[in-house]
Amino acid sequence: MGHRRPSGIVSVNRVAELRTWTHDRSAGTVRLGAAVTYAEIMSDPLCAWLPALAEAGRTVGSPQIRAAATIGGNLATSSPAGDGLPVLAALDAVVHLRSLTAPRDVPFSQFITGPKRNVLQPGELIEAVTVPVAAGWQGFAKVGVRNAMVIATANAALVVDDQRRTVQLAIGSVGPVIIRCTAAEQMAAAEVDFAGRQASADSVRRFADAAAQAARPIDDHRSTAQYRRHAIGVLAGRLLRRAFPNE
Amino acid sequence: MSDPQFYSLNVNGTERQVADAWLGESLLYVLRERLGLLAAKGACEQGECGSCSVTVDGELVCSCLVMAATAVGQPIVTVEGLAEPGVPTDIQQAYVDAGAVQCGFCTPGLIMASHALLESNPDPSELEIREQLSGNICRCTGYGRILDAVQRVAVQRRQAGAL
Repeated sequence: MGHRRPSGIVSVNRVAELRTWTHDRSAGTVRLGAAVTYAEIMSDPLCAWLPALAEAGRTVGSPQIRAAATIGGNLATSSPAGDGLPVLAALDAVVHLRSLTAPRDVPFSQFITGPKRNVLQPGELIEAVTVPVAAGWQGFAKVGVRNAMVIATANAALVVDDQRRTVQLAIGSVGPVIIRCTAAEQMAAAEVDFAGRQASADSVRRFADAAAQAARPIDDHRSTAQYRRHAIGVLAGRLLRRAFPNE
Repeated sequence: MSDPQFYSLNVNGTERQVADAWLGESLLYVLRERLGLLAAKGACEQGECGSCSVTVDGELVCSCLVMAATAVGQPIVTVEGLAEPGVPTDIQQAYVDAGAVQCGFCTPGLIMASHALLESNPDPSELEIREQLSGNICRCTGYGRILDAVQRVAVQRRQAGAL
């Protein structure tokens, strides 16, 4: 606050439509209004449908921050370290934009264009994001310099769909945008046993390596590229093992 | 620069007029500089330290990150509104008894966070207390006595309820 002094301000955070979520059972999706907070996402019933997003939310800031922080804000900021973003990427969420002219839907993979940059045009706002409810294990993992109140050094989300037999991995804080690790995903989907929740130690190791290879990290004040690449491999391997606990 | 703004905020049960304010002012700034309520403290002014914690419509938030004008029509509670002067709440008394106050700068924010914690979770584990108070930084106590104070209140309230 105080960086700019605009002549007028429109506060959208109490617009009822933006604060609302809807669960579409037949489509298997949850539509989150842009002003739905992380505190709500972490609570019943949203946390049951979107467990990885709830897990990510629990690592965002502090209780005070999560009472105010919204999914729309996380999207609009488009930080490479945004904790909700790998989950939205792994789930192929769709962002709904609204303006005075035509509304448009943008797949998450096309929404963020660079660090803190996205496709939002002047006069356009984020209305909602539609997130699929996946039938299978999903989880979020993060490493930072401490547990509470920390910006991620590396973060990742893994989503397993037992019906479509897919494994989807998105990694954050290790590149200019959130990265989907397609090579790792395809390898895992071909090698794991979905019914037996089984993955070999070799599969987990190569999945971790593939995730590390997909990363495009930099050195900055928060960490080094080398550490970030190592950490993201560890997180990816850990997530795959949690999803498929049997060796 | 926009025209001077006039609006009113419901703070501690009283409607307070805010005059000649720039619309973008934080709730922390308005509470302290315009309404003279000095309990909420300004330290980091970016939501990291929790010293400015208040409740808005029952939600614990960092008042430095809330635009005051967006809180119009919602009840705001600061430490000044928790109890009459000289009559501490059970949590305030427990902070005194446990020695959880040293320099005191973080205390108003921690008191607000402790009230919010025990309202939503009357019987928190130590880990839950740590997680729920993780947004409040204290540089003096090392937190042990703060955890102790919150646990004392949880026990006292349980015993009082059981009687």
